[in-house]
Amino acid sequence: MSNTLSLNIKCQRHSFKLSINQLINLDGILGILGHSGSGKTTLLRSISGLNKECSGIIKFNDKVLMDTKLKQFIASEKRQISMVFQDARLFPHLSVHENLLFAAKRCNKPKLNVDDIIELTELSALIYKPVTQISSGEKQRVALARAILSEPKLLLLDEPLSALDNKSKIALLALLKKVNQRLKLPMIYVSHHLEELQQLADDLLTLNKGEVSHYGKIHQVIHQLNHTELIKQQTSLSLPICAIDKKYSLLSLQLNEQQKIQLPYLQATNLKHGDVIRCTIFANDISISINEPIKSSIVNKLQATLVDIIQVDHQVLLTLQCGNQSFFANISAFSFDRLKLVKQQQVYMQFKASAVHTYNSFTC
Amino acid sequence: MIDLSPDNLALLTTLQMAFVSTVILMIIGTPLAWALAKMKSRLKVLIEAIVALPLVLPPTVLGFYLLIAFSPQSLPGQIWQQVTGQQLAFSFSAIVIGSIIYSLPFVVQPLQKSFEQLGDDLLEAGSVLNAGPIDRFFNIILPMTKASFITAASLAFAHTVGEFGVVLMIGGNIPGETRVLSMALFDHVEAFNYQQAHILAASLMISALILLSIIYLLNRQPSARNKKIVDKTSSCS
Amino acid sequence: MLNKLMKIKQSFGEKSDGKTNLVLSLNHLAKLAFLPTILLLSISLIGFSSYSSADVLSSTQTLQNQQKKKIASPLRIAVATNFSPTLASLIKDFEQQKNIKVQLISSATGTLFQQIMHGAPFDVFLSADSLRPHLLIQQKKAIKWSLKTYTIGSVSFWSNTWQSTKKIPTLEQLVTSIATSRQRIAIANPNIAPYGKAAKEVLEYNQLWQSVSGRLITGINIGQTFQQVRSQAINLGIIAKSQLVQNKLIGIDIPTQQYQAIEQQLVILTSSRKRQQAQQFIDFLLAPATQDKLSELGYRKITDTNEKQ
Repeated sequence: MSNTLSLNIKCQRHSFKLSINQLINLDGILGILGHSGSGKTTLLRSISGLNKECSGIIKFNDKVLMDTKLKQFIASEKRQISMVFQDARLFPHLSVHENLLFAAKRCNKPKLNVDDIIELTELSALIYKPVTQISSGEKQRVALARAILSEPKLLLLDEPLSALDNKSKIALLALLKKVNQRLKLPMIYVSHHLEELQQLADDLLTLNKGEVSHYGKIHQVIHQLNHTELIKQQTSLSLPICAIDKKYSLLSLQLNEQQKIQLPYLQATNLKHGDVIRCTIFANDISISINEPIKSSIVNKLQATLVDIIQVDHQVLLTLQCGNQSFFANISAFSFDRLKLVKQQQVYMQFKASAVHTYNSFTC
Repeated sequence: MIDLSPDNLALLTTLQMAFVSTVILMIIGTPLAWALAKMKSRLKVLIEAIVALPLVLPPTVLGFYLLIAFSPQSLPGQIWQQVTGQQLAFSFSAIVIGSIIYSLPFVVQPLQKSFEQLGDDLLEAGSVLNAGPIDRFFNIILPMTKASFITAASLAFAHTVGEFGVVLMIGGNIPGETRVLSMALFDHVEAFNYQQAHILAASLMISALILLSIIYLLNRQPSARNKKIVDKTSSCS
Repeated sequence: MLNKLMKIKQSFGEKSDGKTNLVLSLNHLAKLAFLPTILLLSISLIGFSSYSSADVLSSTQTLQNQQKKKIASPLRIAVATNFSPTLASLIKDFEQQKNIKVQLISSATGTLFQQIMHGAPFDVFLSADSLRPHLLIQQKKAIKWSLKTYTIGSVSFWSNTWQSTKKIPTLEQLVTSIATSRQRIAIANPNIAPYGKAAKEVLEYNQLWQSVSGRLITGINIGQTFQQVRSQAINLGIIAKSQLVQNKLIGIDIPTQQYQAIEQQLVILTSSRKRQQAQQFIDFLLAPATQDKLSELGYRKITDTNEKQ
């Protein structure tokens, strides 16, 4: 059931270096996080076969895609690996429908129905339009549908949201999730925006200066990254919905048997009881109180144990444990000293409902 | 077999020469233009210069060297004789080969430019959608560079029809084989048949004008279309 | 530059007298045109200095003659290409004897004819045929009484293979082989070249025209035909005897009764301002001594007549 991607490659071009030796399990969506120039696009292009400058071995599910020593190189059109590019790259001489058919026609033994995919990606309104007449968000949807219709064994996405406005980003993220769940299509999603990956990816691999620095489950890696300078410190969570308050537009997520987290939600989304939501809370948004805050406008109040303290200049990163869940909070050294916090101390965490970010609400 | 007047025979010969030359030119010019568009080595400059040579060489110079090359005493002429059993010098094949060399840059240059403008992006998109190189050529490159193919073919055809210097040297003025319109025109002038010369010249000019107008009309269309689309999208958002 | 233009515009707006404005704008135009004019002049000068048209005199002689003669410009003789090398070899004598500087302009007869019709500044025209001089006289571009035959051309059969093998067939053998074989023959175009017309007459005389006319390679003039046979692209051709003699080649002479004499005629052009010198040149060319030389070079003397039916 699980797909594996085996990478052992090196690339050297001018001052750019990439060196990766990693075995990756592809269940669901793998996110690759890296700053510009970290090598993530080169990596993606090497996997797809568009980049021929790397040397080494790449294997997908034991099928050798490239082996420089044995002089083997399978052309990209034969790898059954498809890609959605940053700039959509739809064929301008074809309509939307024809673009989709282009992919469908070149699929050996197609199992997917073109109309089903059109429905899945909500393209029925656009289907006969020439591609020059649709918006960039729509173009990316078409690009995604097209890539799906070539029925690849692996779908690569190279920063597909970077050219889109917020509304389109949110829509496309939701769509990608839907596609992954419905079609069980393994995906590798590359971005330098953690927010997108946090919402979408199941696993996260980080590239730093051409090398893998972290690899693992998404929440774990993000929490590991909290101790580096690479990301904005945050608590990354996947929690099920336990209540929907339509009156106050509030969503309640079950943190553990006793405790809940509440966040605002958009009426337009059709969420229901039991759906699992990914959310993130920035460490700067969590306040610490020794006494239980009773009458406060801050909606979320959780009791937790302080398990780790790291001070860097005038900031202190606190790791707190609430049941099985780790939380990260950032307070000033001034406050830390004032409160005289010590490890194992029981404290209360406070954060507003609006501090709980999910893909409805993030502003990139 | 209808008996054609000498001028009509010259016209037929010219059209045959132009047609055969154009077809062969498109077949050999397209991969050459593609290779040049994709080439990155320094060799590219040299090959481009060689291809462009017929643009600057006087046709009589080219014709002179071809005459020597095609003669039965030279290697190319002998090879031809062995392979086909026919003599190359002063044959229809000779003027076709001469036209091909002479009109080569008119085919390669517009095609090369068009391929270069196309870029790699769409071809990469094609290859991740399981399209191989030949598939990509016919289904992505060709539809998108259609206009330049038409331009290249029309230019080659028109240029070949108007050829004089090269055919003068290597043709031999054989009716039905190498006596082309430009030669017929020259003969009329020399023989003081001015009226016939006027008729021939006028019809050549008119056809050339029509052909060139078609080329320019075809080349304008895409931009007119784009303008309409730009206006439409701005009203949508 | 823009400022200057603005000033001119302003000055036009003012109500000063028109003359000053004109001077101003002319002045300005002159300044603008200065650089391009200089460029153009230099290019033309370079062009003129390298222009050569068979100017035969050596530099020292030029200097001497310039000191001696009164008129500065040379006598311009337009000569058909096939006679040009011959004339070039004779002209030195003329210049020495008569102290007249000569400029030879060599080109195809048809081209020269067209140029003269459109005002080319020649003094004498040596044609390869008799038709064009007559036409010029008709069009009043040439002086009627100046028309003279200056030489008579001959044609020969020739093949480039005859040099190496030295096994040259007789005329009868050649005629037979032409009749029976399928080989191609090169001649000048009978419709436009006098030597081609003669070649056709030869072929008709030998009853070869019917069988041969389908396999002829026709050149635009006898020069091209000679070149085609010489390159061995064609094995056999009818060319001018003078071409053989001057290149020290051996061919088969064709008896003069087989074709109408190729009378090459000359005229003095009406526009010429050097009629006296032109006449002197013509006298020289027609003189027996010169005609003797011509017969050594493969031509026939003008005293030879040929009455063919």
